[in-house]
Amino acid sequence: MAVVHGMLTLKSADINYGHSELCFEAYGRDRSREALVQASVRACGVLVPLVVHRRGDAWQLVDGRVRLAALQDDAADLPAIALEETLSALHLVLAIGALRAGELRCAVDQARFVAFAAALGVGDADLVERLLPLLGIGEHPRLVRRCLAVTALPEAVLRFCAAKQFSMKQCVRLTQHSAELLHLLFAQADNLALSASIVEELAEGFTQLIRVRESTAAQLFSDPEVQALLTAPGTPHSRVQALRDWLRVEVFPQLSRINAELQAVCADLAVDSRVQLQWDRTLENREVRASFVARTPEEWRQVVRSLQADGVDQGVHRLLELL
Amino acid sequence: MSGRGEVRVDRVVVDAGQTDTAMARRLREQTAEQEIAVEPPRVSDYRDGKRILHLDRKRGTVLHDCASMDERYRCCNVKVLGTVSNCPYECSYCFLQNYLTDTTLSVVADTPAILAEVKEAAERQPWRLWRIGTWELGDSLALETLSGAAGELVDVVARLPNVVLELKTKSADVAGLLGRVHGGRTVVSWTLNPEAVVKREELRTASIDERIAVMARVAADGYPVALHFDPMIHYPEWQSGYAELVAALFAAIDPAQVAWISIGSLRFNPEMRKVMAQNYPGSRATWAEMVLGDDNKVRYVKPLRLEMYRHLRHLLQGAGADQALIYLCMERWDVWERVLGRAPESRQHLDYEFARSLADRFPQFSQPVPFLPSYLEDG
Repeated sequence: MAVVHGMLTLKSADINYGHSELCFEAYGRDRSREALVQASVRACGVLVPLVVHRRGDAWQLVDGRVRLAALQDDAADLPAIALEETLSALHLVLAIGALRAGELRCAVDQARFVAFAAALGVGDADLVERLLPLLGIGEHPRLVRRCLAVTALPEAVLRFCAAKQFSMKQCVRLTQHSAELLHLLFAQADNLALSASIVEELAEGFTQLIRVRESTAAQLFSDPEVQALLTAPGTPHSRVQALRDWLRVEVFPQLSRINAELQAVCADLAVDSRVQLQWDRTLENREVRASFVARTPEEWRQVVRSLQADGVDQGVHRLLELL
Repeated sequence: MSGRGEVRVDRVVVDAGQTDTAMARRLREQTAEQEIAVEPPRVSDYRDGKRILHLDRKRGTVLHDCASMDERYRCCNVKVLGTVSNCPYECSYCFLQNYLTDTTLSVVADTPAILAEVKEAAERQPWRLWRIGTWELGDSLALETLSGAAGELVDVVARLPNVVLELKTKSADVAGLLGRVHGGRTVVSWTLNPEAVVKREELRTASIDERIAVMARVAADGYPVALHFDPMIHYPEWQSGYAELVAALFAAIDPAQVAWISIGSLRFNPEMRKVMAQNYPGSRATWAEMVLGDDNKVRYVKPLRLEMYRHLRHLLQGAGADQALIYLCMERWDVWERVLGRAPESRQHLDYEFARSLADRFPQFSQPVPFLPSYLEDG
């Protein structure tokens, strides 16, 4: 089947490019190349033909958005290649994919391209068996659903993920969190050092906390304590660390409470300050570890005496009870 | 899509060497189309494999120790027959979704070869009671209507003097077990959770009412039964949920017919959490506080586990069910002591406790007389 219908000369007014459903814009496209193209169009006009496809009464732009946007003379003759009108949705998408091939590098754009193909009417079987393998995504109906779920993420999130080259797996994981939470979290991108793993960790912590508190993301982010952490002085990294620590305490209320009790019991024990009492903070191991460093026999005796002082036995007993 | 507890497969593949087995013949009566294969179908997708039933040959030894051998956690030393792989049900917490590389529903069809291996092991240690389960990588009865595998084992184990077979399930498919000459040597057991948990987390399994109803039928047929409250799942109404479950159970069965009861909590490898969230976004099983243990398994925090176990223990005592051996699965010694007031010294010790309890309560297990030193010496 011939893909190209023929060469045309069109005016910009003949072409629907502002809202062309056939024009796929990758987030990960090469901006510096675009600047060069724009400069060239302004200087020499459109040299490389646009690609268009007739739909109903209008020419829909398939390729050439940057060239058209840079055009200064609306009356100029524009070389264009018209795709065959009777192309199937799949073949049309494959042609568009070929034109955009160099731009479909990140997982977000690959997912968006699958959604773009689905919106153009490519059937499920063709998406799974033809398109996904070409994009290197795999070959299963579930992967199409995952792509569609990824494209439903808030736009700011998608652009961030594209810029940071998140993998498909990392993007899919984000779909497990509410759009509201993601929107609020990514709005803090300037305050926090957000990498894929940090986004995942924080989103998971917040999601867990929302469940535990039976709250909403908006309520959580308007909590003065959270606000203070997000805007605390320091670096984005230090704010992430503070937020992590805070989330750990909040997500583990029982562990935090019992560890605080253990801490209080230790503080009340009249043992030598050289003695360090430690326990498993997850509370899984029922054991207390005591360690100290003695540099002289006298130091040794002092520490041992302090361990035999009144109340230490009961204190240790209490520690073990709590563990 | 088949309904709750029902199993439907789209494709049956029979190993070329197994076409004349009883299992293959039985299956031919139910499904006209069978593919004959030299190699297993091999499917990697977790759900796709659940629709393909593969009658396989026996590959190497199939009898081995239950996988949980970390000495910091007390295990029961049960032996497992690796004759079933994957499961048609969809439990959100199932470790198989992160474990199997080939997800085909696979059943070893060569029952005589399996039984020969069991007999040889049992004869090698005639002094001990061999507790053997078929549920390590699947459900013991979910495929029974199709395969009849469990029924074949029941018949032979009835004649083995030092073996007890455990068939553990979430199904209500017991028709193939009823009316057999089982000698009371097969224990049929169910994994049990409140219906609210079953509906949300144990998709496509039989409802609790169905499980209890067939449990009563199995017990009436003379089989000892066992109860597995494992994994216990935390949810907002868990206390009343488990109370209603225990009440419903003992309204239907006599505690004297319960051979043993296990209690355990949800646990999984760390990477499972994401897999669960991806495969079962409606699951709430992991919402409570969870921590990573020394055995690299994530569990509810210990204070919560203790609260849940104590509550259940109290319910079981109230129902008069504590004459059965109650044990904790994959738990620490201190949890044992605080919940049950005792902790076995080792898995061998707990193994002995099983034999002792069965010998004391069920005449068919009175021989061989359990001797603690023999069990303890059996590393």
